[in-house]
Amino acid sequence: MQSKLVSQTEFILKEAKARFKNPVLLWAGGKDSTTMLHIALKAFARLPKFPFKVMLLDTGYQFTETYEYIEKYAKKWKLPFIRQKNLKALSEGINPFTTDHFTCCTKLKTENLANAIRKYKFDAVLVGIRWDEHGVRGKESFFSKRKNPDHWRVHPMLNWSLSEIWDYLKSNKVPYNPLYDRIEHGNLTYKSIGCYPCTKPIPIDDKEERGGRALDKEQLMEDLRALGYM
Amino acid sequence: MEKKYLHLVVIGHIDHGKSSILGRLFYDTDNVPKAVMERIRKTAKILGKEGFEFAFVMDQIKEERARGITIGLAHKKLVTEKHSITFADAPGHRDFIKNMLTGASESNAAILVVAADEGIQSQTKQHLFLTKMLGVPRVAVALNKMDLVDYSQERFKQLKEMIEQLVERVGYNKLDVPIIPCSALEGENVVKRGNKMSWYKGQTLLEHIENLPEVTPPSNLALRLPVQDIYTIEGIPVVIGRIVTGVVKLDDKVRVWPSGREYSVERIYIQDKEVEAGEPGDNLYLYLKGLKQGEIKRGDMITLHNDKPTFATRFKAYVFIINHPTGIVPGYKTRFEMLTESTPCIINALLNKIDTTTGAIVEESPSQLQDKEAALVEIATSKPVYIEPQQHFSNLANFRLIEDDTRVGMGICVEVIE
Repeated sequence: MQSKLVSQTEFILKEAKARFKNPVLLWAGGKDSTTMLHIALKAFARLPKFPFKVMLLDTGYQFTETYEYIEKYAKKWKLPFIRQKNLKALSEGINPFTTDHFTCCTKLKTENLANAIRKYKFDAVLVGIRWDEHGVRGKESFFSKRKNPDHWRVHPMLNWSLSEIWDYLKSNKVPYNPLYDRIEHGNLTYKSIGCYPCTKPIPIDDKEERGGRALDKEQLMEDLRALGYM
Repeated sequence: MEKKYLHLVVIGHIDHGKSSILGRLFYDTDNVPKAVMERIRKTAKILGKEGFEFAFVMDQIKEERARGITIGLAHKKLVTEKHSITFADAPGHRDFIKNMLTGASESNAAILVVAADEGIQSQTKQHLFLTKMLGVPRVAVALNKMDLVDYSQERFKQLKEMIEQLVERVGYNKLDVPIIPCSALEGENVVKRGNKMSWYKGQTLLEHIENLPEVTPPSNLALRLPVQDIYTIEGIPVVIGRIVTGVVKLDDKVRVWPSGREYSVERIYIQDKEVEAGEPGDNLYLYLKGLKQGEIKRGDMITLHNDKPTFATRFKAYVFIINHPTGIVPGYKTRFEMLTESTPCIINALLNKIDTTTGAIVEESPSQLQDKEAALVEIATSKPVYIEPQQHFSNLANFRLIEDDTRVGMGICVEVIE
């Protein structure tokens, strides 16, 4: 019998395929979206081609390890892969060093996603967020409608906890971003990975998963979500 | 190793200590976020109140709740060595009814919190009644605030008898309902045993929770396999669907509804593996012998050949309005959605309006139902739908009311009329 979590996630992925014409699955090389992608690959393995586009929202400032990992497995898993960058914002000089965090995230992530939805006419965006990772995300539902531009958000991973994600990745021998295994200064690790200037490793025994993310420290999550970020 | 997965709803009268019990469970199992604990330790130290950390945890929860933020206990799992325990929302934080409607069908049990000083109160009865009505299979009672009655065994015995009478009246077997004397404030018998009630030889609340039976997969029930999609693989139509109840095996004779056509099962796949049978929760690729394109569609239902699903066009249900600015009146037309089914429906009658925080009936035959209100209603659908009362097939009772792609209400069927 399928585990309860995998069963639910697979069901939602297949609902997305049944309900929408042109869904895209967001994959940033993190543990949650990698778990979602892996379940989708297994769920649709019998189809001649993978039914969703897979997209990296490339800010230009993710870790080298993240880019290498994504490029390697996008090829290996033969994904219909899109790499989306907000070139206009980048050429205007938006960057995480001198631009404030809020503007930087809005331009390179939120606006970048909105541009992609318009460009490729996506009607649904599959995102691997979980209820337990951040208070703001605790309010999300599996399917929700968004405006500007009009599309649906689909969240197949809401029910997973941090430890269940790692149990899945390890017991299924899913290759994951090597950054998670890197230990710095003896006891610092990456538990949640974003852009390198805004992600710091945190102590190994720290239970605050997103404690190393500048985004969270500044309470930006709520504002960003209201504007359409994941 | 796969952990045992439990889902619980916490119920009980206001101020009997639902959040304290939850706070104590998280605190004593080291499941309070580290950053929160750090802040608490620092504050306690400054105030010279080391040892009172738990009280600070509770203050923290209250404060964050007042600001409309969940501390993260909502949807938070309590992870112990062998278990992953989910609590349906932080108790008291949101509407009781909403929690029950979303949580009841997948819950292993309800934790009923009763304060030892006040004993059984109105919401104790109302919550327990709805818990039974919505099909939650088990109840465990946390007899909280024993510190306020001097840990009296006499008081425990007296309340135990009264609670046992109540659970029997509601329809549970008292032998299946453990009653644990405890104190969330002092941490007695919640996670740790403590030393104040040496007369109590039973298990702690956490031990009871961990020993709850997992919800038996409904494989002993009749097969219900709603058709989610049809994929064409190598030119052959293949049925996609997740089993709700029952089991399907190779060579089984099955029937597709509403057409009533019969087929035999030729091949079954779960993901990329070929298997001989599917159980509840399994997402299947089902090859039916001789199935032609167009003979089956999303929204159909598969049963065994000698069976027929319940087709309902009129049924009673508890409905909770979650997002409707103007409210609804009898005769309100909307869209019914359930599993893979979607069809217009009409609310024929509003039967009883229910207080969403207590579960009490507050008005009979109300003239309208406002946003965030709940009621027992009668619904008619434009075509027969496969729905079963919660008590029989808990997974086939939940539905949604939809308007303009937005979920305006959620419901749970309790009685099929026709």
